[in-house]
Amino acid sequence: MTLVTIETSTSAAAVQPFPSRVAPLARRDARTEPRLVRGIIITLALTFLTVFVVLPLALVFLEAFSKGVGFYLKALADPEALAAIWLTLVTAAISVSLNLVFGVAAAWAIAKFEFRGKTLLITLIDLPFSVSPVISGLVFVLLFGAQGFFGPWLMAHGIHVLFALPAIVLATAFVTFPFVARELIPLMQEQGSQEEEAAISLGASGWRTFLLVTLPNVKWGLLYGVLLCNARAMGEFGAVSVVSGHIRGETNTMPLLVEILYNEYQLVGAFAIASLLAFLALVTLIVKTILEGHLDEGQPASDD
Amino acid sequence: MKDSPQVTIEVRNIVKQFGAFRALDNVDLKVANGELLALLGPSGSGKTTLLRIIAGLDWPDAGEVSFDGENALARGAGERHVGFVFQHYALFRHMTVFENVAFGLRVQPRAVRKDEAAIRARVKELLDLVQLDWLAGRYPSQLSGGQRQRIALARALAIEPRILLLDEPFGALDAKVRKELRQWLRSLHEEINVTSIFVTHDQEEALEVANRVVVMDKGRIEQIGTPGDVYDNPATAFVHSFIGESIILPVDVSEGHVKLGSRVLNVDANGASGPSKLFVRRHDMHVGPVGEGAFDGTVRRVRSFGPIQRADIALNGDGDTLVEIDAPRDRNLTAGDIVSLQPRRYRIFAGRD
Amino acid sequence: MRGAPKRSALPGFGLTMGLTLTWLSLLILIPLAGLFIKTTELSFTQFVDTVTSNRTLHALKISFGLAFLAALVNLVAGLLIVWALVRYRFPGRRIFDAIVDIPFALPTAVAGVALTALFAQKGWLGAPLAELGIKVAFTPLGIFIAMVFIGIPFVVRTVQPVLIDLEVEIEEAAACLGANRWQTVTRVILPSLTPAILTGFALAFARAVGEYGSVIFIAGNLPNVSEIAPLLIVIRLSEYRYADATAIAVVMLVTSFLIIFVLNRIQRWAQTRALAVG
Repeated sequence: MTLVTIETSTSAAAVQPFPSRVAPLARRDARTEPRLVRGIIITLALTFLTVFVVLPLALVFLEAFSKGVGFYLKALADPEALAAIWLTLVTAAISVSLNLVFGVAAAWAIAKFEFRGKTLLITLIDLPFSVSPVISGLVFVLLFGAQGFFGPWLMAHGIHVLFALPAIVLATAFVTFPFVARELIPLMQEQGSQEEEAAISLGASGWRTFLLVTLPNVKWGLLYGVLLCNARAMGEFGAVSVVSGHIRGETNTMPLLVEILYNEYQLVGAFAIASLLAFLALVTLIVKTILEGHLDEGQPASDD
Repeated sequence: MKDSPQVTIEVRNIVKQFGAFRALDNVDLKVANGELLALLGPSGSGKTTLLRIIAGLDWPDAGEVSFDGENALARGAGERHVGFVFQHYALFRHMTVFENVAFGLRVQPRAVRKDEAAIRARVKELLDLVQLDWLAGRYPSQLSGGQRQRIALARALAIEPRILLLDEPFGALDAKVRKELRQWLRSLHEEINVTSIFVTHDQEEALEVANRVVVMDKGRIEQIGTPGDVYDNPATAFVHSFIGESIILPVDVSEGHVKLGSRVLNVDANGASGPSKLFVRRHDMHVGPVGEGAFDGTVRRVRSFGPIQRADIALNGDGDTLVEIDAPRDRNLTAGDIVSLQPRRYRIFAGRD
Repeated sequence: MRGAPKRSALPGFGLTMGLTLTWLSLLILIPLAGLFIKTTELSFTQFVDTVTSNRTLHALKISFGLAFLAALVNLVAGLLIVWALVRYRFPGRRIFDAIVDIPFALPTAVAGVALTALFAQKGWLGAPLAELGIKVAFTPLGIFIAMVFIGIPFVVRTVQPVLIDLEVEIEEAAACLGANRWQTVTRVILPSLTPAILTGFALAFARAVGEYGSVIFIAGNLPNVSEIAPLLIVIRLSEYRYADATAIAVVMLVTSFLIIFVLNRIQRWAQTRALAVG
């Protein structure tokens, strides 16, 4: 841990242009810990993060390239891999769009109007976050499976929901349901409705008011929500695993393919796909950090 | 508490720099036993920094602080036995009023810690002192601002501090509560007689409550004196303009003559020379018949309230300068009158930044 | 919920509320209701038998017990991480701050295979641990490790904003009153953070209980030893024992709802306790 140097966070130890007549021992800052304690806390915290987060992440990329770039690219160009990538993109595109429309509508209804049961509605919107992914998949098996409520009827009419794209999209939409709404609701509540009321009183239609007044105000928050929604949609494993049926080349998304290849000891292939997903996660985090900067910037502006 | 030792605080050559900003610039101050001292100044004058250095919450870059001749800088905040009352009270939200006041007693080293019964008795005594014993079981969030302030004070007094320091004690309160608490603080100080320093930017507060006032500006002490002193005999231009309301006229002094624009004023130069400022309190400006005073002017507007009438007077031959004076009600002024003005008391300070 | 809003100048309530309720019902409420209806296919005794069968009980015990332990570790480690990130300055602080979110962002399957490779007998950490006689991968310890991994962000991200906003003055007040640093931290700072800490703990616990992707690779999945409840649901499904799967799911779901309920109470309690303005 030689990289760790310690400075105090308080201004008390700021620039000191004067030779101090006060013995350094006497500078007992009321708000910080002894140097040794600080060192121990930082070391523990960074070690923990390194072991649990940095190492696994590094391992994904190292394993993926363990047999060279050629092998890596070949693993990705495999038809099964390409099919999984395509399915993941399609699934994410559909479920994110659905939840985007829903999230904006829910945020408008909740943030701009007062009605009874609002707290309950917000709790219900958050519900999927506290449901195990496996259960999120299970509920659709119960609806559309062979022994499910609609399964037999659908099968009789030749409609494939379970073990096909529709169920994969539904399960993904279920687990990503809250992301956009929960980002937008507090943001729009905080901004109030004065600007919209002004626009309406100036004769703008509701739709134009939304496009020209509301949307520009919440665009960073909206992007933030979509970004997180997308990351989860592309990476969802449990829920999709339950409803996909694992049909090779057809109903395997990227995370599912990682599992299959890993279980078949095709480690380079598994980690190559995994590295794409890990890369997606890193990009998501970087964009997220940038968006957070924009969101903070927007803060004082919304005050006046 | 009556027999708690009273301390003389001595501050010598204190310098404190925050980055490029000199918060305190060679400050010297002595505080006598049992005094109630006000540190008065605008924001950024360094008054709070000085208070925090005395408390041990900040450390000077240079200089000395001693309590009764003993070096205080060798001790941390917890070892100085200083009671500090924060502007925003800093009450512990998760503790009841009782536990807030008891905190300082409970954290004492086991060897000197009072037993539970003694702690309870002491807290009760303090809550009685601030007249809020009926709030003991409440949480800070359930109190009004004035009540919180008094609890904060009781908490600070619990450790039998040698010195009581208050940072803008009434700054966060509304005007009415503020007035009440001022009186209350004064009488409380008389009762407990602990050497106390409070910081304020409100001159009325400083003049009304303190025995002595320290006026600060830009990290320096401008004047130390009784409330009467700093009001009647301001030592510097800053003190004159900061305390009380003044008419300030830009003048030039040469060879003992004081000139406002091209007019020579019938006043004494007070030893100033070059570009200077003439300070007169509004009520110290005598309004007389034309020709008798230092300068003539035309009354533009008159408002009456209470025992006085306030008049805007444009100085003749210098249409730009409008002065606001207070005259007794019986001195009937109407817009358009031409009058003469004579300062009864005034000061001239060299310099005109 | 359907009560018309108080008069508002803005249009669109009917449309947006309609969309919201339709999508919420179709995607979330009806499917979840289906889950509860499905359990009624079992009689009460059948339900109890299923849930209390040896294998199910073990799986539930593993999921809940290890999730609780992992959340405890997350609580302690999370506090250390938050403290270091908020209170100290050190090189790479911002990067480590961002790294905290990786368990959120990294797909669970990726985390699963990476942790397994890391802690496998020949892995970077598995090998040295094996020499000490500690086997991680394919044991309950592995499940615990994976649960710790996915729980990292919760305590950190719930406590961080509260610690940042904590008034400097309350610490200074404590110091002036003679409290040493340890007393200030334990009696003043930590109690102020308690609601946030409990929230973070509950969130980490809830997430770990239901976690599937990052756990199954490293778990070993031995019935009665290292089999988690979500996996047992999947197994029952693959055996077409839908009702059994559903029964386990209902137990987990009800627990999740209880956790949400407790969380809401914590939040309300924190609000009434700390409404102090300034």
